[in-house]
Amino acid sequence: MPPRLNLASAFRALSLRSTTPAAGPGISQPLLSQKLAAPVARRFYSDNLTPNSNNESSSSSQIASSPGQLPPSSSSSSSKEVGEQQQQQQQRHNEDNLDALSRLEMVAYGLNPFNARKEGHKYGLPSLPLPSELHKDHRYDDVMGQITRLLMKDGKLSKAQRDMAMILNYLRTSPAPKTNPARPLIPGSPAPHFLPLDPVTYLRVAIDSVAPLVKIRGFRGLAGGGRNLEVPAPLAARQRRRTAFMWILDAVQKRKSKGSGRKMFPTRVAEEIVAVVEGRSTVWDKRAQVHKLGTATRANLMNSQIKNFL
Amino acid sequence: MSATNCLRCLGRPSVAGASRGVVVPVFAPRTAPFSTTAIQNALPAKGKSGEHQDRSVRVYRAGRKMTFKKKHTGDRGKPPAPGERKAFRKKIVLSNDNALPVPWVTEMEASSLSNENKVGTIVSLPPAVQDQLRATEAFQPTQTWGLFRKPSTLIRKETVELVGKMEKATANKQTARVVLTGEKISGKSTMLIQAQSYAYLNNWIVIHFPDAQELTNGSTEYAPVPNTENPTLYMQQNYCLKLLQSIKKANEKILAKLLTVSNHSELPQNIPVNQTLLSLINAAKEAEGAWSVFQALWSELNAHGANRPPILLSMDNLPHIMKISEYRSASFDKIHSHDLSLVKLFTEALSGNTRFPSGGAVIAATNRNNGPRIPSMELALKQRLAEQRASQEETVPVRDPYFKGYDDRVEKVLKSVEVMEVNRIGKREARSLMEYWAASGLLRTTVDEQTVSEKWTLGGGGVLGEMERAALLTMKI
Amino acid sequence: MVSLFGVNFHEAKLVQKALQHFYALGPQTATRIMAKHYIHPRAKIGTLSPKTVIALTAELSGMVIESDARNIIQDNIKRLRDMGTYRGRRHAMNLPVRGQRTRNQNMTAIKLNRVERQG
Repeated sequence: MPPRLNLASAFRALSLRSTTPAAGPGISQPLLSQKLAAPVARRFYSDNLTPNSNNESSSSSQIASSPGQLPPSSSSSSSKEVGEQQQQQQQRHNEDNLDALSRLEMVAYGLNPFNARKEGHKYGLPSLPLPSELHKDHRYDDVMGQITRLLMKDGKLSKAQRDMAMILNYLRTSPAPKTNPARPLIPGSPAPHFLPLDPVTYLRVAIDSVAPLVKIRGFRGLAGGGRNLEVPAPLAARQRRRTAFMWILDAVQKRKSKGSGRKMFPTRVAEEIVAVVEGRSTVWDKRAQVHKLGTATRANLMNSQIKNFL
Repeated sequence: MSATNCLRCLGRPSVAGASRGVVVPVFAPRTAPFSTTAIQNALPAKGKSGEHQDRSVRVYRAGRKMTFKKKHTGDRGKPPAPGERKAFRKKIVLSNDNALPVPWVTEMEASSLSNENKVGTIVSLPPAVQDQLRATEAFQPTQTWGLFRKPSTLIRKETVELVGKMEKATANKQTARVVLTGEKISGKSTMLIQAQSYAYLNNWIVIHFPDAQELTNGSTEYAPVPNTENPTLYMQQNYCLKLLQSIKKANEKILAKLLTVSNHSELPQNIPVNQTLLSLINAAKEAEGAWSVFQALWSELNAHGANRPPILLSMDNLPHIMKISEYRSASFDKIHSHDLSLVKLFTEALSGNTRFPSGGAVIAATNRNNGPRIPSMELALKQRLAEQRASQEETVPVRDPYFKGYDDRVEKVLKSVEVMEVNRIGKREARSLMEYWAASGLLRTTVDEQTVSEKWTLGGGGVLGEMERAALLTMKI
Repeated sequence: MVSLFGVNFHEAKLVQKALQHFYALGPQTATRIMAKHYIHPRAKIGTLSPKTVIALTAELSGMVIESDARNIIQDNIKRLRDMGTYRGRRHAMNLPVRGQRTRNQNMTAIKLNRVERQG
């Protein structure tokens, strides 16, 4: 058996040159900045490809040692043709470089090199703590966020948001609702003529007004003879809104679709919301029914087993 | 004799035959001898009168016929009447009583759209112009007219440029031929509305094709124009009638003043000389004859030496007339859109072959949402743009030699048109627009440099429709 | 109701679909007939002029459709049957003709295959 040739180790022995070799004096291609005779905009340190002139050798050697900088090529052959303007520009670049270097040094010492007073902000800093609307998860009103997700079908949140925007636009272009005294809105709601001007409040008032206070829980077999024992249970604010909006969506399903196109569904939802505020919607009956049942089944809370359970 | 044995053992009389006591011959014409199934079963089941009322479904499963009761779905009542759904989809609302009137918005005047000092201001459309624009179906249901108190538009840099072209052309009795291109919802159709408003205010005749798609997607009736050969042209009489009615509605005042200069005896109703053009249009009562009336009207409008007003011929969704249409000729060949006579009339004007007697404009807007991709049109528009810029560095693009889908006829039409790009708006224009929104009570923030910059950036760097989406069609009000 | 070739159709019926109602007249032939008479693809039968309806009826009466087309198929099957071929026998037995399985999924054959084939 001949000894196996280990090619991998042979290649590993070859040295790999990772850095760019310094260009010799006979380099034919001029650098990019030399090609562009016109003044270029101020750029940052790492982008600066302008070679340093010979009389500033001290600073150029400093630069060459820093990372991210291409080694300066000697430009003795071309420096003669460099105009006055370009020299000034180089001066400016060097100032930039020194500035950047000093910042790097500060970073190395663990200091923050950013001086807000010197640099400034284009639009100023926001005052802290940030308001909730600037947080990506809380940028919409809490009711809006919840309801948009209830509108969503097949996980298409973007479509639901578009629908919600159309609902709001419907509400703000519709005339002021005529409220029904038999179906009072939630206390503290603004006057009806004000509602179209603030569609978010309009929607909120509609949902909060029909939101039920309780739900009916059934305990299997506790009523004797295998019957359910119905017991009222209080709902939290989010749960109440969810129930109310699901009722509204049920009513929307029953509304006849009288058109086609993407505006139809939001229009139907918005019409139902107006109907709720005006007291015409069947959702009010559902709410009354649940409340009635809740009152009737209050006594069941005294059932001993229920008491133990709760 | 295996065959006879086999046949004897298999050839049983059918059930139906047996019950009647008739011996059925093996090769009887009306029986299936190998089958025990009665003949009646083979025939299609006769529909019982009450069959469609019981909601049951019959299914074959595992060789047996099974019947399932369908779940009773709620009765939806009467479906919408024919046309009701479309009417809802196309409904255009032009005002919102809840929005506040904006004090500084003035009414558009005949000269305001060509005034360079007015760039960046908002002007409202006069009620008469609104009716005329409605008649030509220039408003679109996707636009946001319904949010504001009065329909108003922003005078953009491009508006002044376009109207300036129209003005210059009519001053020299020339025809400005312009194609508007640009990104999605950047305002091309609104530019058409502005061009039309200018035309109405300056007493032009306006002929507007609101959607080129309707001409070529095979949804209106068509018939060959008699006595046309090589190529045969096709007329769309129903569309023609609709178009004539919209022309009549939009230009009623001017048409009532113009008189015919030649005798039209070929029409359904004889129109002698010195009758108003309105009565000429009124001659088209039914779809039959609409095309000849339209032809007569067009020749009258283009009659030289009759002191006619300038004409604006405009079309939205241009790419649709640059493709092969959905119609077929009698020999089952596909008809090129340019062989449809109405389309031909427009393309002739767009290519500069038709000269309007008192000048005018032919303006077409491309569309990016629902438009077919026409490589020839795209190439031609790019070429025109490059030629207009006329810079040394930029070379005029040429055809890809490896691509087959080019269309010479399309390129010929677009050989000498002007192309105008409807670009993004600047921050100054954006600011004035947003101030208008805020004053209408639809944008509930203070309009400062930061908000303008924010909405401008959210709107793709000033794409007007996207800015509207970011500011007006949002959940955050 | 519009009567086309002896069949009454509702006005709102598409011409394309009305033509395809006839046995042995598929989408291809229907499109060709419509092109021949300059009927646009989305035409409803109620919008056709009486002249066109008569022309269509005349066109259809010259074509091999409905009972003529059924007779051809029945003759073909009968010929197979008369010759005593396997295919003829399978038709008569309401079973698949071209070697398909019969354990499952032979409902189409059971419904359709017979000497006096209707569908």
